Amino acid sequence: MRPHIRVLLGVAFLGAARDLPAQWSTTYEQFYLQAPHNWEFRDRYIGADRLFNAFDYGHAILYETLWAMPDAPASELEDKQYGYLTRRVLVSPPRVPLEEAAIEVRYARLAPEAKQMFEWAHILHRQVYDVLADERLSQAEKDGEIARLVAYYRSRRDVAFSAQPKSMKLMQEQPYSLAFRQKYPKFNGLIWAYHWMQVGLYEPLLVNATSETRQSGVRSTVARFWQMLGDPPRSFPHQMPMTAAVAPSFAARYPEAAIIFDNLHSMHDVISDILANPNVPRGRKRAEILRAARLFRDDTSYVMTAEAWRTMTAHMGIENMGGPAIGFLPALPTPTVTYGAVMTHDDRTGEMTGFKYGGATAGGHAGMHHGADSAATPGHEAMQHQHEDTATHPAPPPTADSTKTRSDSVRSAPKPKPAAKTPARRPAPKPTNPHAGHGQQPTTPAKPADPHAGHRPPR
Amino acid sequence: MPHHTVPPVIRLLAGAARAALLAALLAALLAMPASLRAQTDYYNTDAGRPITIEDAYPIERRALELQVAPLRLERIRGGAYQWALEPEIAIGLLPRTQLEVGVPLAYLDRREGRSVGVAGAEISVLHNLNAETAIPALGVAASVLVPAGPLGPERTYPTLKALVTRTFAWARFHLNAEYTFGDESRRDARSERELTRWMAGAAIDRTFPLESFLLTAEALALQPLIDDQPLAWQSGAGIRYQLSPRVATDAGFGFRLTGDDRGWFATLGAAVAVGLPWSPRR
Repeated sequence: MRPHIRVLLGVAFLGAARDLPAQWSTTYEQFYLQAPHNWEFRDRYIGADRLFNAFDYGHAILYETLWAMPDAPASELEDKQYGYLTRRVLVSPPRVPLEEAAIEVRYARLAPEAKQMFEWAHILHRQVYDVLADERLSQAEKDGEIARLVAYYRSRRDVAFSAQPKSMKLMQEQPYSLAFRQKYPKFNGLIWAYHWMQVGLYEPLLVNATSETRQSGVRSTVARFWQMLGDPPRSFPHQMPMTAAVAPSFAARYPEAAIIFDNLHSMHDVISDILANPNVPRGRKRAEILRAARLFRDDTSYVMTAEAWRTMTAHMGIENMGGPAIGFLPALPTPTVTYGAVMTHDDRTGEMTGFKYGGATAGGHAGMHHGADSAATPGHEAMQHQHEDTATHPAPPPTADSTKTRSDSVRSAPKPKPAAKTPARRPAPKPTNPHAGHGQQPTTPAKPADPHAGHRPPR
Repeated sequence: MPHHTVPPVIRLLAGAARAALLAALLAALLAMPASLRAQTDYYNTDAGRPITIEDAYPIERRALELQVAPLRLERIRGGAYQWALEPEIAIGLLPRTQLEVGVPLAYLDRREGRSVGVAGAEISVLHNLNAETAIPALGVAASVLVPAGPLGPERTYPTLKALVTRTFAWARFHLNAEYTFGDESRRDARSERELTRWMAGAAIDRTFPLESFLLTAEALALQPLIDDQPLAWQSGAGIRYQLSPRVATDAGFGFRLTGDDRGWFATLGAAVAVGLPWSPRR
């Protein structure tokens, strides 16, 4: 072998060897907690359970697309995958839980540790449904079982999300933040709608006293989810749904689980941002994901008190999160902030202090610029822009594309005002009980008896 | 015992045994009760279910997998048949590590006669070294086949195995290589139970995630334990299908293309997974 070839091979070998430790992953799967309530939700709420299988597909194909097709136009997710999801997968959801590694093949290789964190938390999600759906258990027994589930979940320290509430700064004020919601507002809204239902469904299971009312309550919540798909992204949640707002009874009774789920859903957004943001070089994506994963696992980074978490949740406004999961009016609530707006909060109290991106709709912002321009160029300048105070850089007027998707009232909203020159605006006052003010009368439940009730294609 | 000398009552019993094997399989497949609990595992391939080559991953930690009725039918040159029922139990005892115990029951129908019985007992440990990243998933396994039953080997045979899995968007590839230690005994050399000095092979599988099934195919080379026997090439293909969240089924067929035992084989099976009933230590 010629000397220079040997040198080249040696350099290549050393380069590969240097990367080995960073690529060596020993994460592993663990079986769910064996219990008599296993798969109870699947047996009793077939339609809703299958929707969760479809949600798994949505999450997986999102990450796979973002990672494997970095140069694809926004339409790849916003039109092609979104259309496939809403017209095919959600309408005919898979009958069994999916093997996500077979969908997000390349993403799973990029960060198996983060994938494992999601899977482990999704198992907790599903097992909690099982407990709440089990008609054989008393409320006290359900409390005990959920405590056991949370303990089992937390026994895997290497993949368990922290049970300490995390500030929204961790989710949406990082250097890479907002790239996903800017470029893919429709898909982002769909993910938020998923998260709304994933936490919202606990509420009808918990607050209803009989099997029949639980069934009708679940059907209503599922029907509400479908309603959100009616006019995307306007009809989607405008903020990440927080468990304490969407499922307040559940969050009050099981705060640890609620906080874990909020952290889980926050990290979903973070991974999307890291993958979608071209300012994070591809060679840095894995490291950034692992860093974020570590911050979501530890009990010290970006933490706030449970009381501050509740206050922050209330100030974010349930009307901006898709509304309550039960006891809602027929119409979706009108958001009081622009789509994807970033509120700042006092981490000590949770109180809102202002807007870092977007703003309030009442007399304020006309909506996030999610038209073709912003979607196509979330580059460095755009990222810098989003981290500066929007007060001095008001968003451009809505494009023709974006105005098409917004309601008349939003379109006619006045031009944005510099937020820095106005006092911190809070959304419309939030009731302590998120159900109050949004109609105490439950919507008419979807047709009973049909386990697939609510599985209708979006308009 | 030559075939023509088998008393009718023995033939009757042998036929009954074969029918019982089939009935057990069908009953197991048809009567999978809805109450059985397991996790999606069609993606986690296992040796012999339906093909020989497997992936580099064990079952999940704290999982208990029962392969209740895995049936294998082989027809080798000369028209001899071998039926085998290979029940196995696998336990995810430790992170990335499974312990598996199998006790194959075989029914041999060959010119020399028929025989039914336990064909040894196999204990194996599979340990996954790493999850796949830029580095393929790697695994190692060690097993021993111990003497047990009338059709089992006369001595213990230890085997070491290396496993590699590499996943691409369009397919997944697996490489397996194993080596068996120990000299063959005269009886084991005649045994129909597969005893190979070494085996090396590759498999490809293609997953259909929304339908929860995968198609797989393999090609492998086997050097029989007896040194003077020729190398055998074998190919196979199959399907794994998630029947419910709790039950995965599989079916496959293959051909032994060269060697002294040329013929075909077919497999059919199902696996049920449950969690370990005891709580983990905190």
